[in-house]
Amino acid sequence: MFKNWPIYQVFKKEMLRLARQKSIRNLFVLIPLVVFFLLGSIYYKGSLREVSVAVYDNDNSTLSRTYIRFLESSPYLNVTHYLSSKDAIESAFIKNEVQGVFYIPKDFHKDILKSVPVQVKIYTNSTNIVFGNLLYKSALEVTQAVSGAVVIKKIAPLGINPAKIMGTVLPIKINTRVLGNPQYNYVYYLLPGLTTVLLQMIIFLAASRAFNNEWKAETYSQLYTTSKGNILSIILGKYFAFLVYGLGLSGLIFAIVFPVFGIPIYGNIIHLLSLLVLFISVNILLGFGLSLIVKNEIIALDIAIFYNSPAFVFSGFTFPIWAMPWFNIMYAQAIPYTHFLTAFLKIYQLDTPLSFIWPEVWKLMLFLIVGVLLIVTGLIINRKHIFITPKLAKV
Amino acid sequence: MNLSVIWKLFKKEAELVQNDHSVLLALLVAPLLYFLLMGSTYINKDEEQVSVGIVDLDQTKSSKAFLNKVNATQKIAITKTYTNFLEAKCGLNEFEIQGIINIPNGFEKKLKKNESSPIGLILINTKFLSSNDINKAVNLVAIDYALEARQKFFESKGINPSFAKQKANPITAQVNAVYNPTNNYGNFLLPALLILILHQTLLIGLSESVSSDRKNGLMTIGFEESKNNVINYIFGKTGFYLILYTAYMLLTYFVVFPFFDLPIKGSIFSLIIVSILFLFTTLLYGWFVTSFFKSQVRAMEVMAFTSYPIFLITGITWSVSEMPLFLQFISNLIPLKPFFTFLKKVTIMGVDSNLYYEEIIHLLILLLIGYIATFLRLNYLKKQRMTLKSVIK
Repeated sequence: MFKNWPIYQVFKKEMLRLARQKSIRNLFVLIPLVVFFLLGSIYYKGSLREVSVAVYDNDNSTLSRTYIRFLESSPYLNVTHYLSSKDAIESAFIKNEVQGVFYIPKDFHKDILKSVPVQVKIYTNSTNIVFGNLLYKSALEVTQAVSGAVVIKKIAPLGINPAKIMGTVLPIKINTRVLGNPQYNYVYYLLPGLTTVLLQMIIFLAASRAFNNEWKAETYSQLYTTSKGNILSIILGKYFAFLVYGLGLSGLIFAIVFPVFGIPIYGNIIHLLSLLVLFISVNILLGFGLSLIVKNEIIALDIAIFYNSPAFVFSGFTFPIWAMPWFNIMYAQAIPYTHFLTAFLKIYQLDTPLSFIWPEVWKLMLFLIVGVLLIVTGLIINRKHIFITPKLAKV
Repeated sequence: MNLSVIWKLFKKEAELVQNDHSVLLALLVAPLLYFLLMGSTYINKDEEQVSVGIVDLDQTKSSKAFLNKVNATQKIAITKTYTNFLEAKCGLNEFEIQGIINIPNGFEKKLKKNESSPIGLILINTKFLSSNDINKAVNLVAIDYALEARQKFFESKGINPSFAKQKANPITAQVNAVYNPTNNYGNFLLPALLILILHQTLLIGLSESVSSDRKNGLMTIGFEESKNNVINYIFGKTGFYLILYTAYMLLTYFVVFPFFDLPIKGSIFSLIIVSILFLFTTLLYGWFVTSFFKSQVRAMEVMAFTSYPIFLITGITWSVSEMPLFLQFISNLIPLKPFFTFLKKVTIMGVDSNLYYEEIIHLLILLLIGYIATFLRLNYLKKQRMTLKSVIK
């Protein structure tokens, strides 16, 4: 029945046009397959473990060796080098390629027996803060564990109720519960963000050539005829075709990439799908608007690349938005990905009810309106190309 | 090498750039705008005032004192107070707060009785940076309490306060964040990000020019004009980009680095020379890859999507040795990888020259690979054109 509808005709034509374009095949098949799997493979180990460290034990006592054993038993540390002089400490980062150096001072054991406080010096290579933070955390944990054990040994002979030892040595116990990504897994952390930002880029870039490419290839008149001169049918027909492609790409992300890399989805799939449809629609309409306004497809592509490339940096995913200057905060708000990401994380990692993502949904709706306004602007600016030229061609 | 031929090709390329608005945008507008936009994102270098919510069911002096201590830490700000955990969880779900500190009833009582008093800390780990900062701050405050309790115990046994203090904490860890003393995000990421901006805009601009040459059959004509000499052709074709991007590099080191308070502790001379070597290697690689594209649009699209994988595969955020072998191999073929290592050593670490020879040799090897690839590709295209010509004849 609907086979004769202009929207369906345009949709069919657009599906075929997109399938025939090398550029679209690159964007929707080749690039995602290569880039998504490459990005996932980078972090395939999930979390950083056994960071290589060096130890300079200037005491060589029973207690210093105990301290080293504690270091060795930490799941995050791997003692790979034992240094024999203080001079070797600085060059250890370059020569031995370690990320941290533990320096146990002379008389470490003796001083502890004499109740003279001792200080273990830890040098971390903080040119990479991922290692820096991990080493800081592990160093504190190990040192506190050894220090606590020494205190317990000293407390015991002084006469203490055994039930109160822990209350004295560690009066406040922090029970930490981590939501979202309790495994501290980098694949779970970064890959969903990276794949979805690329989803936005791909759809936006492809949509930014939806109309100007037809003008360049001189196929617009044909399209105009197919739609029976109805511009709404052209826009909707094209929109549905791009939506199918966008959902196909989302399928690749959530049905293939996520399971391959073992990324769990905690939230409701239907909610996630609804959010994706909204997000994809926003990008299609914004891309269409750009394509209708800017006749030169290469310039349109330039603008699309320029607008989308910093989306990940501005999304607040790796560096919080509140820590950015006001201008950058405004730019971050002007990118749909920022709002999608917040809603996406709420649904997929925290499994929040739908009501919690309304603020982001409203913002994405605003982008939809902006997209429609851009399309209308494009229709007005290029009315000659859109309405008059195809009519003249028909005549 | 024929300088007049190179100069002719150089002028031709400059004219092409001048007349092509898209290339002009990529080469002249994008780098500066990105510097401003993306560089300034990290101007504060680190996060502060990470918002934390509290559920204080104890409502005692001790619980308030604990929370005040947490609030007084540099990176944490207690922004919300909830009456129950469910309410707090809503705040967490709305991302109003990044974590919850939950103090149960009887907290003070247990503390006074010298019993272990547990506190709940709930963190959202969707973003690592904030969750790490909260975790660190709360645990450090808990350690302060531990030291105080131990000291009090020793004092109660008749030990004088200063000696009791020493006994309370026999071993301390002094962590020195070498090279980046405040362990901040900006110093870690910004230098690499600035270089990536230059790298990507250069590749996009060059790819547009090369694919346009290929499409219009100008590539082999240019090669013929260079008297079929690869060196003449490459210097002529890429010379403009090399000079422009060397200027950008100088701008980066002498203006952008000081503006963002990024250090250059090593030899500035080595930095400039190796940067030029890196740019030239990148140009050869870029020319070779984009010579396979006949469409400007396709070349731009592909180049635009290389930013994330190229940046991440170089090991700037994740150790290369932790990647699968095939990625380690690919990583070593990318000029950015040795250049980033070199950059780190010269700028933030300031090491002696004998400690970065390896990276320079690595770049020279990549330059050689790039040259061979370009040479073979140009000869292949030349042969292809000859065959086509003879068929037409």
